[in-house]
Amino acid sequence: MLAKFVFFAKSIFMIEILSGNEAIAQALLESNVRFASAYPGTPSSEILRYGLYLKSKYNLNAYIEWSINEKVALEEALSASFTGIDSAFFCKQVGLNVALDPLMSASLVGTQGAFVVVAADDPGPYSSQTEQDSRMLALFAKIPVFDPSDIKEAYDFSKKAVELSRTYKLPVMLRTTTRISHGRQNIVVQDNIENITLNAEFKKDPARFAATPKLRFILHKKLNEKLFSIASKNSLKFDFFGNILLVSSGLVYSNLYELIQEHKLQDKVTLAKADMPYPLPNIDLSRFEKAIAIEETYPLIELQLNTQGRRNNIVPKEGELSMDVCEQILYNIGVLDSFVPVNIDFKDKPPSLCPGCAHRSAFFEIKQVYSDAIFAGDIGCYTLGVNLGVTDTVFCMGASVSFAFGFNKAFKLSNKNHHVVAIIGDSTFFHTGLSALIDAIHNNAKFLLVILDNSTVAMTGNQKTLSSPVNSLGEAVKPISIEKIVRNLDIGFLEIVDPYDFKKSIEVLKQSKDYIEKNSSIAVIIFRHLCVNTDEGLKNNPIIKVFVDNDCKGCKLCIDEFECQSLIFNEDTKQVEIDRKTCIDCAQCIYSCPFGSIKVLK
Amino acid sequence: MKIVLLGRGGEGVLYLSRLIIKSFDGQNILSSEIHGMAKKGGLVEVHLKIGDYKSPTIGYKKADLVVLLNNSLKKLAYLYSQNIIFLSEKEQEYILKSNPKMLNIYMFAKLAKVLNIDYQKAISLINKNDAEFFNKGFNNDIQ
Repeated sequence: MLAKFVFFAKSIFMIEILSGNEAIAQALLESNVRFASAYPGTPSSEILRYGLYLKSKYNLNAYIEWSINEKVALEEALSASFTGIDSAFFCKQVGLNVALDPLMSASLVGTQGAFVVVAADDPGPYSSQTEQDSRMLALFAKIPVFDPSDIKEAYDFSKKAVELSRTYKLPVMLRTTTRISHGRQNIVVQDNIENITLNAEFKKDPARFAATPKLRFILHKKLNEKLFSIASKNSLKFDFFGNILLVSSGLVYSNLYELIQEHKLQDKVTLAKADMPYPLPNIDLSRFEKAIAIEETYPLIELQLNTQGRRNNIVPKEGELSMDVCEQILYNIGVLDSFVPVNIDFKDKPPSLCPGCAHRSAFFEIKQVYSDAIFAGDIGCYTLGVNLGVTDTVFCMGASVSFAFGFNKAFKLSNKNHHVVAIIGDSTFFHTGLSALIDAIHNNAKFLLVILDNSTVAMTGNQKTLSSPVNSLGEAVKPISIEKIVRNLDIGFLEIVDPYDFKKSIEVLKQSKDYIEKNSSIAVIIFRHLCVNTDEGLKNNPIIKVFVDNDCKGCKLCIDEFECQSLIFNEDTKQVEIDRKTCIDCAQCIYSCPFGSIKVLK
Repeated sequence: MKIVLLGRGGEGVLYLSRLIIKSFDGQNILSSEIHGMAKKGGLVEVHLKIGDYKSPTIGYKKADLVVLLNNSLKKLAYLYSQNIIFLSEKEQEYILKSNPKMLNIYMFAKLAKVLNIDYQKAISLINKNDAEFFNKGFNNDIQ
């Protein structure tokens, strides 16, 4: 129904309403990319998912799959490009940090087939730990970067990125932001993607692919020549005709363009746009009264073209450059006569684990036994353990285990005994937790490692993990068992327990505490329960209806300590009620009332 | 036309936005969604622009209409526009009791009326089984 066919000379195209992420996958596969790896991360996750959908739909001979972490994913795709296969790697901005090591070398060594890096930034941030600007990592790694200003450009620039990468045998980055990745627009795409003949060849060239430091110097020189050539063909596009120049790229350009039209500022400002904000050539901007770079989120154009912007506080140094912020900037530079800032008196409740989530049960149990511990948390839904007071640190993927190690050693050096608990999800454990655990075991660290295993990458949209016996398209793969790995590392204490089993969980936690004290070593508990946000998890979840009895004292201990959205306090009756709209009848809250007022409905 | 849709994870805001987009098939559509940490109960915010626009986002006070699926977000809604469409307590109660999944379908029908979307076109976009609640919304049956 949505697809409208448009007839061109040779190919048949159609109009589809795609998200930015879908448009990127569509464009890359249309451009013959046949190898793509990624690790899930908001707002990038839908790129690979849509790639999988297209692979299935058109029965494409392609490798498209989730990887264990971003470094591995980038290396998998990069080496495929060494054989001449056009390849791509997708990540969220902080994922690129994990993959930066191979990227730094990839620019020097270059590629054979195309190699496109898609990094999705999150100005705001809405669901990330940093607001970093991946374009800066393109500059740092010395690779060109495209910055689309809408979904159509995300599609067009993906194709341009493949072409540029092929031409210069250089990795090329496509940077998106949440608003582009999770935006939608009607765009014209091919109505079919055809299989192509793949012929992988690896032409041995140790001076490139195994270059020693001296040869790296030569490669660096070649890279600089490529960048000079690319920059010399790069330029800005100019709109409007005012004396004040605004230079921008990405979504911010679209915001500014629309505001200039809305307020009729066409004769006051000129708006310049960089499709590719790095590498820029020297551009003479002296004909303008002043030049100001307005870009998300770091001053990439500003530094290259030596304009005003963040350095003289015209542009805020943090946060999204939303429509409202852009309007304020226009007012601040004097082209907009009036601006009334909106008084934002809305404060939403903090995010919370889903009702019925087994992580909540595990957190509640952990704090019953390890009440005085330092809780080193990690990245995933269970970051929300902070609401239950069972997460003291959240940093980056896998840091829970290495932090537990560091805390433990620091206290030991000070002759203090402090309980330390590392809490990590199953996918994050595979990602980087495992290597930290091996180091901790080898160096005689002493802490409890809790692996919250819901057999899915829940936070980013329930992608599969390595413990799955099938890949993303349902084909058989080798499932990797967390307990087999842990057992083989000679962990003396390993228990697997369903956190819905309150009694057994408490028992196991107590045993782990005794074990750690007696043996001065690491204990591991795997709390295993399927994610209730998946169809399978919800279908298999026990259904036990509960009610709050009239003897509820209204002490709110359940709400404070168990923190389930389905427990609500009725200000009229001064008692707790079950919110039937959200409750999934897991009955886990009955353990949170010390007076037994939450009862099973019989 | 600039529309902001507000609701919480699990209420079907994204599906509702897809239905509206499909209703304006053939016109230029730009939208942007924020649903970062929104599983069950988190804020979901969709900006939808139909017509000749450049940016997929909408600034405060600039929306023509705000569609509210969860009345706890009324304050946020008023930041975007004074023109808000929301469900009365009676409507909420009725739908949540009989079939909470129909919140968005019911709202889509109400919207179809407000936005002059052809009845036949609108109902053709939804699942046949959802027609009952669509008709309730279209005819303003729950009072």
